[in-house]
Amino acid sequence: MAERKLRYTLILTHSPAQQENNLTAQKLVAEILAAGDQIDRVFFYQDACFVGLASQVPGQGLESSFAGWQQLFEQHQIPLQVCIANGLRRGVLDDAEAQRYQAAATLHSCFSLVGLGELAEASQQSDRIITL
Amino acid sequence: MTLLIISTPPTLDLEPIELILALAAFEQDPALLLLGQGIHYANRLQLAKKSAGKSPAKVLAALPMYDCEEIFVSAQDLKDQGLELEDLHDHCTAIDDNTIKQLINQAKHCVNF
Repeated sequence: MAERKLRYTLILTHSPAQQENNLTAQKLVAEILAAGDQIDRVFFYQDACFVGLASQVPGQGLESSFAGWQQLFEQHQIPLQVCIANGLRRGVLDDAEAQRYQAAATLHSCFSLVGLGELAEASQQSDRIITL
Repeated sequence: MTLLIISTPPTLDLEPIELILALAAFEQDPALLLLGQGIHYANRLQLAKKSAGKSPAKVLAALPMYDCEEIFVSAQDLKDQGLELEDLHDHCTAIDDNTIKQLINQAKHCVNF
């Protein structure tokens, strides 16, 4: 009988200025997928919401924090979810919120703004929640 | 049960508490464990971290309305922070390290801040 896939939710809380945290999370996602398990979502909370800013200009020779996530999103269609309340406070707006607040949209297209209900769903559906 | 473990001091917008309120609102049976400097979330004397903000203890006071009636606090860390149980919000219960271990073992998920 085939083993059941484990379902994971990752919660990131640290600013992308802490580059290692993002890289660790991206490596973990890649390992989980390589093991044949499933990523339900990567949820960006608190200062991790800045990861989704499309307006980032990285220092010379560095990559923007979303580059690795973009690659994972394009290859595996992993939901990359930015907490809407935390994101708005930090100027991370998608098109709908930009229109609502008459501001510029700043969220990179591979991310989505979602409510905390997603984490309630994660606590029900995911086998593992990992906070980084 | 999803256990939120807070071991960092209160933040400007009390975002860890927003999460536990949301989990409670969605009837996910969350529980809260305060460790180390996280205990100051329940400190009655802790003021709002920004003007027009809310004090952490006042926000915690909303938890019983969502059926999250007990806030667990490490007895050892409480002592290390120089606080007494009386300094904390009414619904706090001090627990020893063995009980903390049991609480973590009982949880389906632990989310750390």
